[in-house]
Amino acid sequence: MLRKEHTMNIASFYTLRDRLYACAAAGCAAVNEDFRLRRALEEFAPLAQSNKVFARIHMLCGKLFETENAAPVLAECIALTDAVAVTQGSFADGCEICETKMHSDISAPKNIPYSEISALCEKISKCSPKLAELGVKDYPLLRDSRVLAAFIAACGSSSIYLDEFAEYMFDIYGNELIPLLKNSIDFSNPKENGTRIEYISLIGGNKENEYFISIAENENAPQNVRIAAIKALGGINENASLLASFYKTQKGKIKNAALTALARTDCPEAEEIFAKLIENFKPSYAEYIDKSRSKVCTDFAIKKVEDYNRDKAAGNLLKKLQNMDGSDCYFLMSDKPFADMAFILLAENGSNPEFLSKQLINNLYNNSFADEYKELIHRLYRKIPSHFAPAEFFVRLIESPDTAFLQAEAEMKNAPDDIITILEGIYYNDIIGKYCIYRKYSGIMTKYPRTVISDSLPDGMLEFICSENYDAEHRASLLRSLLEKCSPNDWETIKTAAVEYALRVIDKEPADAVMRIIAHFYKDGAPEFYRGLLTKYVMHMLNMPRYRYRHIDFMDDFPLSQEEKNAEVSALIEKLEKTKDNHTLTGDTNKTADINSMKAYLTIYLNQHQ
Amino acid sequence: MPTAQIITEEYIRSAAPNSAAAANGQKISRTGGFTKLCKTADETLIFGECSGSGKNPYHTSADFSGDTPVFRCSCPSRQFPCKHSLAIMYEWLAKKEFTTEEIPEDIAAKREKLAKKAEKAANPDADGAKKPPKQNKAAAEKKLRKQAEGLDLAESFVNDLLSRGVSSVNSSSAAQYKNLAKQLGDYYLPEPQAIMTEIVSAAERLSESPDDSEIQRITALCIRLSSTIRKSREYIERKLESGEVLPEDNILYEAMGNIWKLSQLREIGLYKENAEIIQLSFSVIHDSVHKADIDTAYWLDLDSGEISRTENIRPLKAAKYIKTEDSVFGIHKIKELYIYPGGMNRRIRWESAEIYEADDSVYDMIMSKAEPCISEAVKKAKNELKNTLSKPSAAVLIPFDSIGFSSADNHPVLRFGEETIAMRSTADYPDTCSVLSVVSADRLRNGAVLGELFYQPAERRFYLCPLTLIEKNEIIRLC
Repeated sequence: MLRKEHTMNIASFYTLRDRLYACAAAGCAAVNEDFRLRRALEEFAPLAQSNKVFARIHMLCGKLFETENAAPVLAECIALTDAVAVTQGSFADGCEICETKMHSDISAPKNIPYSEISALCEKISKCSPKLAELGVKDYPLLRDSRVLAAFIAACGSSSIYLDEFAEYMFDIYGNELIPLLKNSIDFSNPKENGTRIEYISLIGGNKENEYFISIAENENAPQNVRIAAIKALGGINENASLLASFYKTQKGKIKNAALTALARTDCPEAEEIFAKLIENFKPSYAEYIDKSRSKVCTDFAIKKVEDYNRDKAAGNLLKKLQNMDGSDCYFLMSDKPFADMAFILLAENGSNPEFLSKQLINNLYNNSFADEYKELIHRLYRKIPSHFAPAEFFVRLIESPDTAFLQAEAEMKNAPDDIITILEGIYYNDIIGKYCIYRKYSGIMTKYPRTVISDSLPDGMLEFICSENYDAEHRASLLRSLLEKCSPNDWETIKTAAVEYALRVIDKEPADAVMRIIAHFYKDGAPEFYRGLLTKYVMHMLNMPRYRYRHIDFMDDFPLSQEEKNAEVSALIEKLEKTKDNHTLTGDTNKTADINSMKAYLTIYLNQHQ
Repeated sequence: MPTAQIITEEYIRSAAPNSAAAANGQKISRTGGFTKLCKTADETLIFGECSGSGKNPYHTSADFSGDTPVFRCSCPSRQFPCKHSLAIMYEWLAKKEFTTEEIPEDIAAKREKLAKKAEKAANPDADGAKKPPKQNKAAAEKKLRKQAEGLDLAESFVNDLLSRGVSSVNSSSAAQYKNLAKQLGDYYLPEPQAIMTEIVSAAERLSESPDDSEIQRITALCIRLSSTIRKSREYIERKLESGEVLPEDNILYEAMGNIWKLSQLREIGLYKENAEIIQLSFSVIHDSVHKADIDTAYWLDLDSGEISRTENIRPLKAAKYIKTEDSVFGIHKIKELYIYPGGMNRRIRWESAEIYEADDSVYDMIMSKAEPCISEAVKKAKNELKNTLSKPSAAVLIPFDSIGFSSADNHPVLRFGEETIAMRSTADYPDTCSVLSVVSADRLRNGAVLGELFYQPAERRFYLCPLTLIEKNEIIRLC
């Protein structure tokens, strides 16, 4: 049969097969009226003479028109034609071939089980929030081709969780991702999104300018892809005239994308356009003015802050600010490296130092940690240290991590809370083997884009965290979270520091995180040490101004016998009963409710462990 | 006698009922869940005490003294082995300190009981010993007659559907057909019944949203059912006439929905002794016809080069009670490998296997088992796929000089010598071509691909769905 494939035109065979399928779809009850099938069979007749199998097909199909029960004959005809079609199938592919776009030699660990790979790929394809919880054991999987393919495919959607995950992939694959991302953009899909372009821009930066221009100028490209490409042109002065022409000639989202890109570009075209916007200011322009680094927008922000301060003093804020309030002022000041005066005015008017520092730190993340934004922070800190200490500490942490804590000890005694909060963003990146910091402090919980701090735990960091006995809950929970996110080499050091700290503060502030450190990491105490700890903890928590319901599961890890634990819980229930009576007498209903819920939980514990 | 020394990471994973249990076991081990760890002097038993949510610690042990390991735990879990049994093996793997102790009395008693049971099984003539069940010819004949009746019912369904037309099913005719399919359950024909149910459901959906490719699929299912009926009837008639009613080496036995017992396969000689096989691919495939997830793996016989498959069928209704399988990487040395009837890629099963790590020579050995050329592989696949009752694809191992990508639409193309074949993913393996496109260029030269050859009727050509790349020093799984 194969040999004859090359010498015989069997098109009429395939036509007959198609007609048989059509007959099955429409029903063979009226096969006699199926003139198309009849004609196909007639055209097939010459072929039937050339070959025994074709002859059999012809004979069987002929039967279809003679029998009363055509269904089994039809089934047999189709089965036979299917079998012949299979034997006639070709396989050669003569298309023009090019090499794969992947050239890096990143070898994945061998023998990763299917269950682990498929679970991770599922998280990626669903852009699951669990992507943000990847642990050390997951990192080797990221080098597997199946995970890379799942990531490239998932870039068809946009999600902050995918953004976080993307950072790991950027670290592993770097520029190798660019051709793969380019290759996977579906230009024929009008709903294609711009995530891949955004990622290309983050990895390749200015080097991909020509590519972005080609897409930006392509009016047939999917709109979201084009928008992302136009935005990626921002920040490069050579693109100014092209962006200005987009702004002037295009409409809607494309025009807005050009305006967004111009906002990031330092050029006369942008100055001119933003001057006009400010002249005819509407609140809807604010989001572009927020992003603009131009002088006119900086002046506008300063003026608005002056207005805000004046109106605040006069007590008529809402009337005067054209629907803008204090928080809008913060946004207006973003991404403007010379908006010193606006920050100073707000600081002098008693604005919250935390908000001001958050804005300044956001500037750094938004602008690839450019020096001019660091300079802005240094200038402001020199003028009013009390207001800009958190931002200054952040810059010092990323510039000279090993001296940042010593300086903070000496100069920033007034801002320990903010510094502890900043440190909550520190994590060890196993892929690059360095400590990094994510955007937690600035209000946006993402590791993207990443800032590298140092190879090892910065000097003085643990000493700084453990230096004060107050706010032990905050400090102890930072130590606990560091234990989960640190380099394996630092784990023991942090554990020792955490235990020492917990032992020091446990009498004064037996907070939840403190108890957990003791329960999980301190097993060497005498039994007397652990006896009564639960009572201390519960009474402490109940005395907190904002009592929060907490689990007492840490009890399980105390090296005491279950009988002893149960005895303490029973005694505590009795104690709470008496305390509750006192509160009932004084009419403190909130406290009574807190005690009741704690009692209920203790009773459940007792029932489970008796 | 095996000892705890056989414990490896892979051993634990293959013993675990699912990956979550293995992960939980690992977590218990990491967080210091065991308060006591002991072993016997000969290391055939490891045991210990593990704290859990109960009042008292659980007594956990892993006993390797028999042919198959025995896991015991006093926890209330229904999973077997439970996470504590897996955890104690992780403790061993982590080289934690196990103190040497005498075997606990209760375990010694259980061992003795097991030994007696094994002895009885080995001497079936001894008093009270259970003899292997004899196959009941009368019952087999009765079943065949009943199946023949059921085939008539199924045939009336196919004929009616083809007469009326696949695309003409409406809700009232669907209800009648569903009734028919339900009735088929009384005739020991679960496989035709499953196909029938799928045809009716798909045809019913089709009436709501017509789709040409779906019509083709339903028609193909009808033809498959029709062929099964016709061939099964011939098979039954022949068996009843000859009086040889017990199962024989024929795929029709399974096509009617009968399930092979290992003892039956052994009886008709469908087994191989001392086989050495290695898994080349693993995936979980959803089977909509049988409403089940199937853990499917392809294995290469290192001696004969034959590619076989294993299927762990997990009906969705009972999924949580059935152990999930996972990929494995070592060479499996199997005393008795049972082989199902069939042509290419026959299904295999075994009761126990020794697993040992493959060294680098295995890659060359695998490559040497590849087909001599693409056309030879396609020829084999054609012979297999032209049978209406065979699976729609055939797994083959094809060598390649290079794998490139089409400049036009980026589909992968395998080249070996002067021959080429296009590669395409299938519904069962939807992502393998995209994975192939991110494999680095140096790995796409001079290797072999395990893939499924399938025929695409609309394009009248064969495609290869890649599953695994075999290189000189590694195996790269694409699914």
